[in-house]
Amino acid sequence: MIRFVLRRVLTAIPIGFIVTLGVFALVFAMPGDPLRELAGDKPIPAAVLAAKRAQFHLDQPFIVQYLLSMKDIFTGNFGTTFAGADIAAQLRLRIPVTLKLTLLANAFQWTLGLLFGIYAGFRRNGLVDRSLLLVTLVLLAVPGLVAYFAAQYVFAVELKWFPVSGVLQGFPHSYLLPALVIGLLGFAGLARLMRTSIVETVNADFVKTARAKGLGEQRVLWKHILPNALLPVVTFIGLDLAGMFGGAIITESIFNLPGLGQFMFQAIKLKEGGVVVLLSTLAFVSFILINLAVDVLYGILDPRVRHV
Amino acid sequence: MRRVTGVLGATLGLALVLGACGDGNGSSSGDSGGGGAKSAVIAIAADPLEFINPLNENGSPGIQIAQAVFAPLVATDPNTGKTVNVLADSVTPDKASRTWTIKLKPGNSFQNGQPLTAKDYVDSWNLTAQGSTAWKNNGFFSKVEGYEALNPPTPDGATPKPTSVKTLSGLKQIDDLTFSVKLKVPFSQFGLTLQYLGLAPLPEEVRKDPDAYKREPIGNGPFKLDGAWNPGDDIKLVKWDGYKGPNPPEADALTYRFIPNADTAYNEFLAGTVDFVDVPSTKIKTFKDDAPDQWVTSESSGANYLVLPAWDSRYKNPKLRHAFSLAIDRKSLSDLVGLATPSSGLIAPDINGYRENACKYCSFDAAKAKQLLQEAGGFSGPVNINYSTTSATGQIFAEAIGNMLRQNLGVEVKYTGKQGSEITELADTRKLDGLRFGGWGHDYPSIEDYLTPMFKSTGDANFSGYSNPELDKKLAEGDAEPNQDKAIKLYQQAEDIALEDMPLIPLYAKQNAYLHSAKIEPRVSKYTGVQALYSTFK
Amino acid sequence: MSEIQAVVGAEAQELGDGRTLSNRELLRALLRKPQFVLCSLLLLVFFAMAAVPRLFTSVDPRLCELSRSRQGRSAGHPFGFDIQGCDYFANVVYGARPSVLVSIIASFGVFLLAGSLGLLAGYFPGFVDGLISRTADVLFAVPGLVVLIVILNSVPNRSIWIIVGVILLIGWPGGMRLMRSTVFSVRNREYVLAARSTGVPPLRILRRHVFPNAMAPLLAMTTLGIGGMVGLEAALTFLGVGLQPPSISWGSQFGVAAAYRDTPHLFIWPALFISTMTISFMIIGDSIRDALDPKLMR
Repeated sequence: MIRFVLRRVLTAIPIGFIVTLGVFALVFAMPGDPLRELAGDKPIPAAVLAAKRAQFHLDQPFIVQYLLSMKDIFTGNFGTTFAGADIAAQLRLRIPVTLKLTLLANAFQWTLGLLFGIYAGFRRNGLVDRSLLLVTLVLLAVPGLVAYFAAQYVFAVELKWFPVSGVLQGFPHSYLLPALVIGLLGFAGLARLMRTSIVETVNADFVKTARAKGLGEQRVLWKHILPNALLPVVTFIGLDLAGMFGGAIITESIFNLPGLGQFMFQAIKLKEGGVVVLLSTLAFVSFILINLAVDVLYGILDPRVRHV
Repeated sequence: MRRVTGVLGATLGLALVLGACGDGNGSSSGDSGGGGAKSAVIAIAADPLEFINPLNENGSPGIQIAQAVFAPLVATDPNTGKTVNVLADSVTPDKASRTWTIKLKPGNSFQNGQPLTAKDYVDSWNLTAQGSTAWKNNGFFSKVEGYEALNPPTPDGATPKPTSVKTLSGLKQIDDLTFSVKLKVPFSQFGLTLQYLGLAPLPEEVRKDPDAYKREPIGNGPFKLDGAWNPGDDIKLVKWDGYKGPNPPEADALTYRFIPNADTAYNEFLAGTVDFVDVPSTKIKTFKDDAPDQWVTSESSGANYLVLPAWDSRYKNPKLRHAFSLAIDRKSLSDLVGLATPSSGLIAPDINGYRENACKYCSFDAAKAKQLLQEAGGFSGPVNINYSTTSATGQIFAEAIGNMLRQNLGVEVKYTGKQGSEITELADTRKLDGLRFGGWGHDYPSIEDYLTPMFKSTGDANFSGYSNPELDKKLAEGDAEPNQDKAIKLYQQAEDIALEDMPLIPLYAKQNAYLHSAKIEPRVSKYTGVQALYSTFK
Repeated sequence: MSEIQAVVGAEAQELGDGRTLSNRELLRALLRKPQFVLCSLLLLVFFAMAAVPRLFTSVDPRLCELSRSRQGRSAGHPFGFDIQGCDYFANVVYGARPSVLVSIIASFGVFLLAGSLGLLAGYFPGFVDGLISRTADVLFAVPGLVVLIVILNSVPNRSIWIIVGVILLIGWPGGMRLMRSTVFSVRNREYVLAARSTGVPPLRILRRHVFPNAMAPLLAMTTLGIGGMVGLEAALTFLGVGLQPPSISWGSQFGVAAAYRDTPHLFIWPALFISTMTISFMIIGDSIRDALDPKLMR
């Protein structure tokens, strides 16, 4: 097990290097002067521009800029954004927001998805199953933009059940509406996956064997069906969770949630290579860690998989 | 008092920018506000500020906060439009309008108790004028004698050479309350420019270590910070009793809340959580129904133009420019924009010196447009129209203009959407292909603040790369003319030259709309616009 | 998009172990389903709209009169007018082409790219597999929307081909993983082993034996994911990196109209077309999936 974890971490290092270098190169190659964006349209005197350029190493060649950014990341010395925001403070502010939003959204998604999926899987072609398939089809076909705008207008502005935007009302109240919409949109996929998985497992040979051996229904359900049916679901949830540090750019914008997605989007717009690389590194590390955790969990659920 | 536009108005629209708002316990809804009885929550549709330092701030949100926390030397009287003294006792030019002597009123102080002196102004301005400080209002001082010594010209991309000069030779302290500014050339409008909040002084302790005070400013204005202010939080202000300026705001406490998505900010107002909000460009048609009896509009917020590239010879012929201008149906365009009036000149209608029909080529006349285009020899290739993707309505307005040119002139049209900053950069380096939008809001209410920046060959917002020595001469004559009425006449002659050459095609002047809750009534003035800061309470 | 793709990807993964049908059996099973037939017909209408918009409207979508901006429906103008005062029905009809093109080409481009790379990775373990899988890991680890925004902000002209290209770039790793795992299970089947032992060259084995038998799950995933592409295009417009005029597309129509609450017809029509097309594709994808998996049909 330890060797498995170690190997995974070691292979992650060159990948991380390529990811950060690639992202930095992409941002570097974007046209336009990063500092220009700061000024808006008001001209900034050449002397001020030159001073800022030196402060953010923008006068250095590409590879030096990249190495300086990586140095800042590894030494934990994040500095400030071009606009003067303290990056460490921004992370302290934003990481909790992103965590709260994703975890709450995932809680909705998992609860609904697993409950309906399992029920529909066991009562195949029943009323619940058929309506589930229909509802999830519709949900998967609704563009996210529509759902966010409509939900905000109907439930927050008109009915006033939820705050319109922002996080002033704290957790969970401020996060409920966006999390519900994300959860509902995501629930469709999870429920369908869970249903399929249950159907397949119920009909699998080993379940029939277990029944034939005369094991009790409860035992078959908990020991054989559920663990096996959950395997693909765990993979899916892992992928979903792993992507969360990418942030939810559009949701965060519409609901004015100061999370990592907005930070990333803003950094791209301002061509702040350092910030984009920092956030990509964060996303990458969490991606690797969560994937690792999922694989380990997989090993616990599935006795056939053994990491030597 | 802002100069934000350039790429189609200040509309942030759907611009997705840093989201923020403090996370946590707060319950500062519109009804509870800060400490006092008269309090209001003002929504600002922009990124949260990272610091409060008027000298390093030239955007509208920052200047809005600076208006509350700091006080200017002079201001425009909202009732008469005349310039009145605030912290200054007198502002006196010499005969040539070149050396200006500013005398401060005695007895004013900073919020830390230190008296406000001429030294504070001189030192703060010197600090800003140093290029190495890298503060945004540095450019203001380029008119002052000695600026080049502090900002030696650097080749593009090079690190600036350190200079030992730390003071502007044109800036002199005379006594505790008096200082003088000597300009490089005569400038009759300099007194007006002193109302810019970006010139507010910082006290000595802040000047020594500005970074230490970036989140705890020490102002000299009607409000001060209420408690600690952390990144992303609302800015909460309470009345400061030490402010002795004329006509202080009525509010006891104000909360500024930053909501970057303008449509979201608007929704917040509809849900009743903020007391004041700007109407985003996408809601101009509906706000009167959304909030009946709770809206106000400003007279104007500057003027908007279509910018023709002077560096592209295909657009050189003035007849072609006039043809483009005549092909635009400004009435329909203004209806599309909403709350807009068709332009008939280069300056905004609320500025002294505005003439009803200054422009001869600004009416809609498709037949004449076609004829002029023919006389100019037609146009080869498609007309490219650049629009900013950061503005919610940039693409819509570009298509409207494109359709008119295509259908009324028979030219081919294509569109390019780019980030606003990229368009500006391409234009500044004379590489931009085709037309773009430009907008201008004055820093101080003078016809000169439209003509000099946009049409003078060295103007700092000369969008089109336009240059005409005759016009420069007229401007210089106006600058040197101490009699304001005579100066305006000279400036109008300069405007006529620009209208004949037409480097910019005037489009429309737009009113801004704002919503306010029932408990406040924002101050609306023909001269100073709509100000939530000076709301009256019911 | 990545969300939907992840969902269908994981969902379709299960099919890897399922049995495979011959193409004729598959088609016969599909034609027995009324919903499949109906949705296919709907899609044919959309395709026709994309290919020959004149069949549906004789109005020039670019004939605009700003004074009619956002007017409601009237005689000869069943959908009313858009913001620019152009006939909205004509615009929605003409908007089919980029929307259909982006979704179809991007989806099947991903299918081909992911299919062939997955085939190689699954059939040649070791260096080839390592190279392809590690590259996929890199792309997996970067948030897809970020890559989209950065690249689309950098290109001088955002045509549908650029958008398709970027979707291909960030879209293939998911499908590749699925294909690779299916190939793993197929490569040791008797007919493959037999072909190999008789000295058939590897490329021929891949083309003749492995690919036809391993492509079904990926195909199901692709059809289920097509609809998401149109929604993605709308999101790109919202983020300021969508298609530029004079290109007309449902996504950009919808993205522009979303902010104008007072004129719902601008918002409803493209949204309706997007959703209808998406649902049609999904039902077709569902049908293929069900047909491939006999256990689910019982």
